Amino acid sequence: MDLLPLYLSLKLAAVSTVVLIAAAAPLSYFLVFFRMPGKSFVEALINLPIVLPPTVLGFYLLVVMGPKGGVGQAWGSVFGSTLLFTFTGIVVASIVYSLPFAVAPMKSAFLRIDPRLVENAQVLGLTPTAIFLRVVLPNSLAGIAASAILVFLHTIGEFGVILMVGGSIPGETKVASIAIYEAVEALRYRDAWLMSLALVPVSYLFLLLVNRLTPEVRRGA
Amino acid sequence: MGLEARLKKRLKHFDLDVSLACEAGRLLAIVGPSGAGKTTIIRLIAGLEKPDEGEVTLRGEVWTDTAARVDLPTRKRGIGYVFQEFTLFPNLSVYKNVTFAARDRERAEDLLKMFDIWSLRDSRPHLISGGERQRCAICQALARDPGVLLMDEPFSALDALSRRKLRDLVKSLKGELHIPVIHVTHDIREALYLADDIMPVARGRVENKWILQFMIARKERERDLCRSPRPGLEDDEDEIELSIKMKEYMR
Repeated sequence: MDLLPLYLSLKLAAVSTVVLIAAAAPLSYFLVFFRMPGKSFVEALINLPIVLPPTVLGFYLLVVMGPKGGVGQAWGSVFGSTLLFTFTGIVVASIVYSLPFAVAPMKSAFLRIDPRLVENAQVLGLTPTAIFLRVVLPNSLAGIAASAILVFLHTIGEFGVILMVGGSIPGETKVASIAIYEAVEALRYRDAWLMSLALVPVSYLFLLLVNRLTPEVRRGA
Repeated sequence: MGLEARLKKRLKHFDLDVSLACEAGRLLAIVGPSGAGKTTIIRLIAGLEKPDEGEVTLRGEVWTDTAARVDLPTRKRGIGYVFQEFTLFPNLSVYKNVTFAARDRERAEDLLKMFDIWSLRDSRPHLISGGERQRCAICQALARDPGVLLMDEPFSALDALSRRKLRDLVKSLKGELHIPVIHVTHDIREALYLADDIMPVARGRVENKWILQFMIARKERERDLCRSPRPGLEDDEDEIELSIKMKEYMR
């Protein structure tokens, strides 16, 4: 069995998780604790990847990240290379696709923080940034961990968006889900079986961990 | 000059419209029934809520002036605020809670000793009693050397013994603070015991009639209770002091 797609999947999931958690934490803090006009429009936009078929999202990303798209052109003028069919390209696509899965558990963790704790921090002279770093984050660690695990698992399972934006370039964009699809198409069932089996226990164990970290799930058990 | 405030705000069931002043070294008790607007008053002073109209100044420094569109953020007001319920940071020890925003670490340590919670300095808030937590909250508020201390029913969640101990501690401390202290309570006995000045509030207005009605109702209730065992009432010495203060106030 070729282990490179598995390695690429794990690398993609790890990079996307780190970037998404770093981006989703301040975004969620902003959505929970600040008032602004049009917030519901922003939230709906963030959640769009949940309801859109991955191929539709992948198609739009393909257009936007392509040589004639805004993001693709900006990337090209700064780095002198293309985003499509590269590892960086599928990282960007994963971030867009998994953003709601990072924001939702984090928002729910931030909403569980007693608002009076935040008020107390304000009274004690903390700036909004200091409140985020010294009060909100340390008191939401379980929610952040749950968010990280969900993003990691969701990225490992991505198929449609990756295929549209990255294709199937060995060592670059051919992740495990695409390798399994290709193995089945080529009737190499043994490879498909082995790679699928490798993903199942990892995903199952991580989901168990999410359940342990999420109070709502624990209460319902 | 101490703290001065004139505040108007439309609330759900009535309009709040009050003016108050509190000199440094004095304790003003805002007393009234639940839902009278007491907490809103100190939240407006703290900047946690915005008035529709009014001004708040401390020693001449303008914190709020709706006409001039001045609204100093809460974090810049330099206030100490003790919340009704426990608002200690659960992820920090008692020591770290008190030194969290302290300007002077030594002062914070002195407060921990003064409030008799030095031995609990390494404990997390959920492992100590309600009285100890509220002592810690007062230390936290005082440790940043505030320009005014606002206390929102700080003893209401405590048992009788803890309430009494903490009340005595606050009373002995208030003269040494040299800052205005505003204490919100629904307990007239507590107000009379602690305060230099009392501001009775009912439905968002200063209402002296209310305090008289309250006293009459309370006397009637005590008379009824005297016929039967007196659960919940504290010792006679306290009662005597309360009666003397009531008479003084009514005069």
